[in-house]
Amino acid sequence: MEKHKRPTNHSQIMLSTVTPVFAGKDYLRKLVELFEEQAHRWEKSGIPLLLTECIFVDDGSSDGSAQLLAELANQYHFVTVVTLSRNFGQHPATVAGILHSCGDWVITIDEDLQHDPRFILVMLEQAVRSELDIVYAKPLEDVHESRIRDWGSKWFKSMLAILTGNPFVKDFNSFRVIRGSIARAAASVSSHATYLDASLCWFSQRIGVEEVSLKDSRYIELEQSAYSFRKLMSHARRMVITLQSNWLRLGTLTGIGAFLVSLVVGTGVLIQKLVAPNSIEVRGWVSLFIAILFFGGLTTSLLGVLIEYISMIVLHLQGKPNFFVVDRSNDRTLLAFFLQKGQTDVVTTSETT
Amino acid sequence: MLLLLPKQPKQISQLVFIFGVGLIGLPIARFLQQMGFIVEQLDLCWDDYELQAHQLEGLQQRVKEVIQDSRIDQLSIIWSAGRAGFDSSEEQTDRELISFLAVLDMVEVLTESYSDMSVDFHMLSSVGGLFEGQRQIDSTSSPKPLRPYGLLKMRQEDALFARGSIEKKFVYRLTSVFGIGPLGTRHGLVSTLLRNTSDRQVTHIVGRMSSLRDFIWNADVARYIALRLRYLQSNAETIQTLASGKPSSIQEVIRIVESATGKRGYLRFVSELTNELDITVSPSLSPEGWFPTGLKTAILTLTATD
Repeated sequence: MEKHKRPTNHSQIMLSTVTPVFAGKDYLRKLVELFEEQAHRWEKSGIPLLLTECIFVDDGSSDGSAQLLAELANQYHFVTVVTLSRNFGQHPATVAGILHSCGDWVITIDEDLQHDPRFILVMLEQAVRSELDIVYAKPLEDVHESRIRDWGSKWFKSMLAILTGNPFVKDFNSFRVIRGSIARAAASVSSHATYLDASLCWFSQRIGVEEVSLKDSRYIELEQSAYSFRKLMSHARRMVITLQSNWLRLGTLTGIGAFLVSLVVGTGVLIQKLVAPNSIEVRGWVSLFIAILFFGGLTTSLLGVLIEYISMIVLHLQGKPNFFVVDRSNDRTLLAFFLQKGQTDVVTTSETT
Repeated sequence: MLLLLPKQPKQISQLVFIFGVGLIGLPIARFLQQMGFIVEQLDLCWDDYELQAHQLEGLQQRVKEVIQDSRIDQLSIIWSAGRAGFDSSEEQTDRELISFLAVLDMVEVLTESYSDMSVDFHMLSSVGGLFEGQRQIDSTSSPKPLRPYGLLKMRQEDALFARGSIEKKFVYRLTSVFGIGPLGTRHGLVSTLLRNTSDRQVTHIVGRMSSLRDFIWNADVARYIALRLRYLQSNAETIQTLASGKPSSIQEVIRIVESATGKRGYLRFVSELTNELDITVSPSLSPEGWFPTGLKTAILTLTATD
């Protein structure tokens, strides 16, 4: 089969897509066709975007996806396959894919057609118009059409957003448009226990969302998901570990509070003992309570300080940067196009309905 | 320069010249030594052309002596020389081109003198020089040098392919090479960063944290070329791109080096607009038999063997 020819215009904004593959044999060909369709549409509409590479990371798939990917790589010039030695999980696979990318923007997208490549353009538009570095797709309606699954996910993310003080947690989604340099920087500091979205927050706070229609048809139709309950719990664990745990400070503050209360009450009791000793009816009970409060508060606050130190070390080991330099100057090309063209719903609305 | 002679002429009937014993030439010589060659060092002056011409004549004489003493039916020449780098001026690159042409002339004379002998020329070229600022370089990409160094590489390639009398011509376009080489030669960003971080010295980086490069280990390059030189030659004129196919940002390299050494790197970024351009290569260009070691594995190996 003849290979599709690569366009040679290098002045365009280059896009890389990253798709972790675990059990996607039934969807991959269609996904690649959708990518190609989009690339042609952009070219035809004069949109200065070049789909440079679609990176598929074979994360230890066992359903024949690897063979299909090899075929697709032979057929389409833009398909690149990265094969992991075993199943590492969605985030490590995404990290591996990002580290193989070279695009000005990196789009992470699932294998199962839950994320429609036709939304890439509106997400990119949102990014350049609002000067953002990361845009997450936000589902317009319930993704899994399962109340337990959808509400459980929303509840868990909201809880984490409160506990960690990171408002972006509730928007985390595996369909993302990320500035290339930020994506690669975050991926390069990610270790086995790092939650990719949390490390993205270390590099940028210019994060936005774009409401799009997302449906997990694999789950809805077959009640099957590539992610077992165990894997979802592992996701949650990594998110908790990576995000700055502000709630740990609550313990420190409680300890300091108890310690201060013990000092105030202790001083009061001491004065009472010196000034009016007969007014104390039950002897020893208050002293015991103050002693427990004093040492309990002291221990808890010191433990909190210790945890804070450990947290700093963990974040350092995980690669949280002191700073990162970013160049957003090439957004001008796209922005100029969008401003000239008006809203891109002319390009997308008809496609998404 | 080095002349490599067969240790046991009954088993090997090949002579190898290596012009340029640096980051790549030296490990190639080491691999060939392991394959049964003995090394003879010869002088070659790069600044005085008169002396250089005289030395090249001496080299031809040496080949004649070797051929008289033993059965040699293949002569291989490796051009891994070059003082010129990205910063070199036009004058410096012109001087290097003169030396390269002189070597080509010598090889042509040898080819004409020993018509029964098969001659192959292996030239190391540069992806960075030829395709500077291009990303996802693949078979459809065209060389567009942006500086004298890139032009030099293009002229060298053209000059080699114009020599009809040299039967087999191989060009290896390399991406950013790193590894251990002889003292006084360039070692590449990764090795310099590794050494400076270990020694707690400041590394000056011309580029940005996010600049993308394609890094390859000199040991992989040397092994590939040595094996090809000994066993896997085709008759065609070939240009091969030796790249990892995986772009790496400077920041990623720094992170791996810091993790491998357990020390923080002291860095100073020097802004130079053209050197900040990304250069990445599509994995589709990888030739058969080329298996580059991953950046992290190579860095950890270098750290362990340092």
